[in-house]
Amino acid sequence: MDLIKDFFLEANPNPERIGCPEERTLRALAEDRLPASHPARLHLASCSECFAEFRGFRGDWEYSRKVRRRIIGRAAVAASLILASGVGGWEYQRQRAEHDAAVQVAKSSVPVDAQVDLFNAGTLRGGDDGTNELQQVSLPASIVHLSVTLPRFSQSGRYEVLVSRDKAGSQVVANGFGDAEENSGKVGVKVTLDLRSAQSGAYFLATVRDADNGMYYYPLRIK
Amino acid sequence: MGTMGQTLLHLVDQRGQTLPATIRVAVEAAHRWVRREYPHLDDAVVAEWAEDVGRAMGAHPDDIRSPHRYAFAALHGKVREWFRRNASKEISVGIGSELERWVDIDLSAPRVMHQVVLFDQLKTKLSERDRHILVLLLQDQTSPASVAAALGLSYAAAAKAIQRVKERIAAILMGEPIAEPDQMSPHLCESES
Repeated sequence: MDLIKDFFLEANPNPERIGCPEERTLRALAEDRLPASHPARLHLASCSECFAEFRGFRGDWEYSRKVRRRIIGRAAVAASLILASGVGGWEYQRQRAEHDAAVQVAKSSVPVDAQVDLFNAGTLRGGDDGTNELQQVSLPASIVHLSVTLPRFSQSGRYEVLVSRDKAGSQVVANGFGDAEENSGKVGVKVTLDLRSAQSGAYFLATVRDADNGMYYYPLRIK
Repeated sequence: MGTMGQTLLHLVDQRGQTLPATIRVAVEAAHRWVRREYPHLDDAVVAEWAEDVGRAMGAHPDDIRSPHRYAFAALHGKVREWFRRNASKEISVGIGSELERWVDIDLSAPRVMHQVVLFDQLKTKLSERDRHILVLLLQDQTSPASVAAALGLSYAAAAKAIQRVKERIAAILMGEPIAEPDQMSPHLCESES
């Protein structure tokens, strides 16, 4: 094609510039801003001067495009790096938050021993509006190995211990079963309660003896 | 001062004053074009031509209606003149590196003759429409659709016309009695200096 290019550069001298389009038209041709059907395109076949100018504009345009593409490419790489670092930072924060949450869960998954002494507490059967005098009944929101000393005169046997939002025991948060045994004149029962899902606040701790199905409840606070 | 690659142009008028920006821009554009179009020409020689053109333009800036056109025409003229002058030049050289330095110039004579004959053939054997198609191809309007739009042809006719132009060009080149200069062994006429 170089030979043909030389042909058009040399073989059609038009020093008087007869019928030549304006410079801006040649520039627009070179920059592909004019349609294929523009008559100036065919003029280049009969005017070496215009063809030379066209080639000059074309070369400069192609060079500037190349430079622009290079700049855009570098900007894209830089933007990608910024985006990647941003995503990386966000991902790091997210993983860190997840890790913290996991640590929190792991911490709350570690069973905690707790004791509740109801020996001297007054007891009321479910449905009573009164509250029992109970001190230090405060449990953490985790898995609790709870050792309950049942009220005076309680009998041994199988018990269910449950934590509920209401006195009726219809909104149970956790429950556990254990066999109550007498020891040194006091009857105690050991159960495991999973209180991890419980929000901190006021609850009721209830004991239910299988034999008579009687429920006794006591105010409780979960921290 | 203008730049093209590593070549700096010292664009001043005859009194050593910096040329107007329009002239500088025009000369630099023409210089870049010659560097691209004729890469085998000596950079320093082309730069000297460009500076000469700039100096000449600086002598009568008000008479130049289009600095860009003037610069292109003037510099292109210098290139043509150089090819013409060197095509007929006989040089007496020694052997070795000095000889090799002149090889390109010695080869330019058959190259120019070859081009003259070939260009004559292209002019006579190619129709105006063929030349239009060729110049469209050189503008990167290579699809039959573009050629069809430019020449007012149907797509099929444009596709066929492009194919025929290529065949004609090939026939002209194949039938060319003068071999390509690059394929010739340089039988240099040498005389001891």
